[in-house]
Amino acid sequence: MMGNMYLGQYIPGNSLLHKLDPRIKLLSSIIFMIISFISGNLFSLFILVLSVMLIVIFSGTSFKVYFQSTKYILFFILLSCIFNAFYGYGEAIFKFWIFTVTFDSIKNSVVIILRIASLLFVSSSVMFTTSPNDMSFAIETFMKPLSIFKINVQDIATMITISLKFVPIIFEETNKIIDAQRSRGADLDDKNIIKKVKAYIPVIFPLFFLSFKRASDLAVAMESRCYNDIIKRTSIREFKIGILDILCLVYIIVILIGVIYCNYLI
Amino acid sequence: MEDFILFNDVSFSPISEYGDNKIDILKNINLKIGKGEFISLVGKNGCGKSTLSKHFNAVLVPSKGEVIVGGINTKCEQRVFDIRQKVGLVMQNPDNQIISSVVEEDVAFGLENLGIDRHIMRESIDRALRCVGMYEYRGSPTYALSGGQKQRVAIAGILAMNPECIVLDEPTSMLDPSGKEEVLETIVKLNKQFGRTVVLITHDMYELSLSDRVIIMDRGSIASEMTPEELFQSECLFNDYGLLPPSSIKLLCNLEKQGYKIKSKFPDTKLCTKEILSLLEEVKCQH
Repeated sequence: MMGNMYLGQYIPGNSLLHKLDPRIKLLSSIIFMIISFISGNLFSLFILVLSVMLIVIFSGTSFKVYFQSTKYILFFILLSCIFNAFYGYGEAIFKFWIFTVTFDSIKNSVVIILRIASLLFVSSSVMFTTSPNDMSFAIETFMKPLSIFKINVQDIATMITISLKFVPIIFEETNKIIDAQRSRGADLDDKNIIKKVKAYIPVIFPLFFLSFKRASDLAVAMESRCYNDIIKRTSIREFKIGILDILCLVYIIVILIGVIYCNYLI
Repeated sequence: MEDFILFNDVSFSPISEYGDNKIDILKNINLKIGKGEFISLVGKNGCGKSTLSKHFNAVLVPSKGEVIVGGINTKCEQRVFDIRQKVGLVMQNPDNQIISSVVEEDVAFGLENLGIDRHIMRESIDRALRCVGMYEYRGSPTYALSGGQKQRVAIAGILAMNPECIVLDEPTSMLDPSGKEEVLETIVKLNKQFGRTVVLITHDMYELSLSDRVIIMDRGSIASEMTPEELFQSECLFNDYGLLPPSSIKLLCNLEKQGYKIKSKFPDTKLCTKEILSLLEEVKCQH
């Protein structure tokens, strides 16, 4: 199972990131999103990459697991960056047919790939080290103001965490359906894209059917275990913001200030 | 034995999208289940076993008649949580009922929903996990467990709420032989050692032999009620209700047809071997 990690899966452990309060982790990841998008020059990007590496180390999860869980997304980011490298203004470094590679286009591609990869790695580190229940609590806390508009915040938080929990199960089910359809002669490897899309229809329909069946079973299981919006839910975990959490916030704010400084003063 | 669950002339027909309810999935069910009893429910696919199981804890309420659980009518909406605390439901696929990614957090789900204090919760979770033999795995991720272990976690999730009755809807049908054995051992332990009422829905004749009473369902009604011993005495009974007798019973029935005198028939391997050995002994003496 560990060799087949998926995005958003929780890995129990005892690392520094595991010990942090889920609210702090969620808040820090939101700040980190801002940092990623404002990092414009090479100095700020250097700070960004360095801080991401530190976060990955503190998560107690190997780089291999990170790459395994994000390999498909990373592939698409890489592909889009390669295309991006051919569209740029300024002095041409390399020219081939209608494609022109400039210093600006290469710089843009590097900036985009580093920004998105950093975002992906930070969000993965939060998901790897936060159990769905803790995440549900954190989401609920941040969405609490919405309850003024009579929005059921608890339901939304539970929905998000349950969907994340079901990602690996749905992937596993998809693979089983693909194998079943292949054994019945379905050609899913056709090079013609239209034929390939058509061939995947017998995979998608059973997957939808099974997902609805699963959702219905889960609803019965949750009802049987008294899931409701009348009684105020308690939690088995005690959440207290400690010195470690404050240090983490300070760390993120220092990075934010550092990136802003590099962007505007260097 | 004190009656714990009562089905009084229960019929159930789901309301269609046009608002009418024509098809009766359950028809005039009358059933009494005593405290601490072990009941098994058998019948062909589509005979209404799973629909009936959802009536035990008010997930479904009857269209006609009433279900009384521990003195509470399941139609009483205000007391639905009391009923669900008294009767827990475990389903076929453990992956569809495990909500959290960590064992103890999943077991805590029901208690968290009831707003129970953290310290009391801790005690209940530990007790439930010890009861199903999964205490050592309390911090493990649920995706790393085997099918049998996942099903035991699902049972622990129900047990943590301290129910008096557990309804299990084909809990072993998706498990391998060792997983099956683990779950069955747990179910028997819950009934015999901890005195919980157990309602087991099954297609497996060996599982059926573990119960005190067998209820056979056919086309939404209760076709017959008997003890497992009574059911295994005649091959005709199996044929009447579309059930398949286990191979050990088939063997004993064939011997009986050949003219050998079989005293009792039971799918338990030890008892079956004993019966055949005594038969061989008799034949030896005759020669």
